[in-house]
Amino acid sequence: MMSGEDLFRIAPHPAHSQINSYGFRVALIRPGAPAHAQELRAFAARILRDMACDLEARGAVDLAHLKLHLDYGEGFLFGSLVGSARSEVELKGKDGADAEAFGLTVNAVVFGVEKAGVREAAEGAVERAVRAYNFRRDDMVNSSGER
Amino acid sequence: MKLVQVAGYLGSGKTTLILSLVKELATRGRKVAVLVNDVGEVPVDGQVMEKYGLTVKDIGGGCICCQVAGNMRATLNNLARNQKPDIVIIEPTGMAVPSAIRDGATIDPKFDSLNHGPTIVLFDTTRAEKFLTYETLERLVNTQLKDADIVALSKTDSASPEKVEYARSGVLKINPKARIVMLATKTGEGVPELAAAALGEGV
Ligand SMILES: Nc1nc2c(ncn2[C@@H]2O[C@H](COP(=O)(O)OP(=O)(O)OP(=O)(O)O)[C@@H](O)[C@H]2O)c(=O)[nH]1
Ligand SMILES: [Mg+2]
Repeated sequence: MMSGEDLFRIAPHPAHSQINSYGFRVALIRPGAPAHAQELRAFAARILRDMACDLEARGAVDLAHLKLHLDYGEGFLFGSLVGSARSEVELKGKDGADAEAFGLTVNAVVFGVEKAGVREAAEGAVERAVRAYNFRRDDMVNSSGER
Repeated sequence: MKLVQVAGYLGSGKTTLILSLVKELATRGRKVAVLVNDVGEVPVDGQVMEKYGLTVKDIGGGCICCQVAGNMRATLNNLARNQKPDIVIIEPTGMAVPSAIRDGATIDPKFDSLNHGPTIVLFDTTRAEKFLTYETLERLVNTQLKDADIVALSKTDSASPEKVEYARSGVLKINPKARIVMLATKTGEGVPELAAAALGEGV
């Protein structure tokens, strides 16, 4: 038999309603102009920084974890930003050969911004960076299979 | 099979610690499997761990404490039947309540018996103030800390000594029984101590 305490533990915690996440994957290309590992690091850092600033402007209490993963052939890059827009962007990975095509996964988890806002901030940051670096989107799929 | 949980709020350094812990345990001759559960539509942590050479089971589909306990049990049974690791490290989502996972983790006795190792809860010292004071965030972090056998005060390399002390005393007020370990995975501080604790040594 379950006690009240057990039931409480199995139920979501009240704080969960203030934590929202949004994630998506996108395939990016820049035919004829392969990107170097260094450029991809700058691209990744710009996305995280831009997203963090946007989320703070939307009233985020805690940037619980903004993560991204960029993969291209033998190369990969993980980026992460935690806390506030003033926090450092952390990048780690392995450089690969210059790439005309790569995959980008973004996952943002935020305390204090509603889901639609997290989505707009994440997609907006990626869109602006993609434009700035002249990449092009190949395809976009989220968990619901929406494009 | 021994179960070690590395829990703690979002972004507190769980995945980074597990990567180091697995290396440390492997040099001590232990076979380790990792179960990871990420918040959000597209898991990233499983990819991180795989790129760094670990065999990982991603238990997708929500927070393991409240939604996919069945899935976690099926995965544990699978590990006990096939890979037979000495130690299974679980990284729940940063929203999870550790005791719910501990209680929900069982394996079928016909495969193996489950031996509960310590529940390690990370507390990010760089965000100590927010965690100890901000309304509902404080309540969630409180719930997590209360379930800890060991609280690892994480990222001590990036926080001032005053902030680390503030975190330590705040944590001890919430869970006076917890063993406190200073952790800076980036420099290696605290990792051997946590590996020893995972093995049940030197407690
Ligand atoms: N300064 C410092 N930063 C760290 C340390 N450990 C982890 N980090 C950074 O903290 C961020 C989050 O680390 P993760 O290991 O991904 O944290 P997590 O708890 O697994 O995050 P979630 O799974 O999203 O809840 C990353 O940017 C890490 O580089 C540390 O010892 N010192
Ligand atoms: Mg993680």
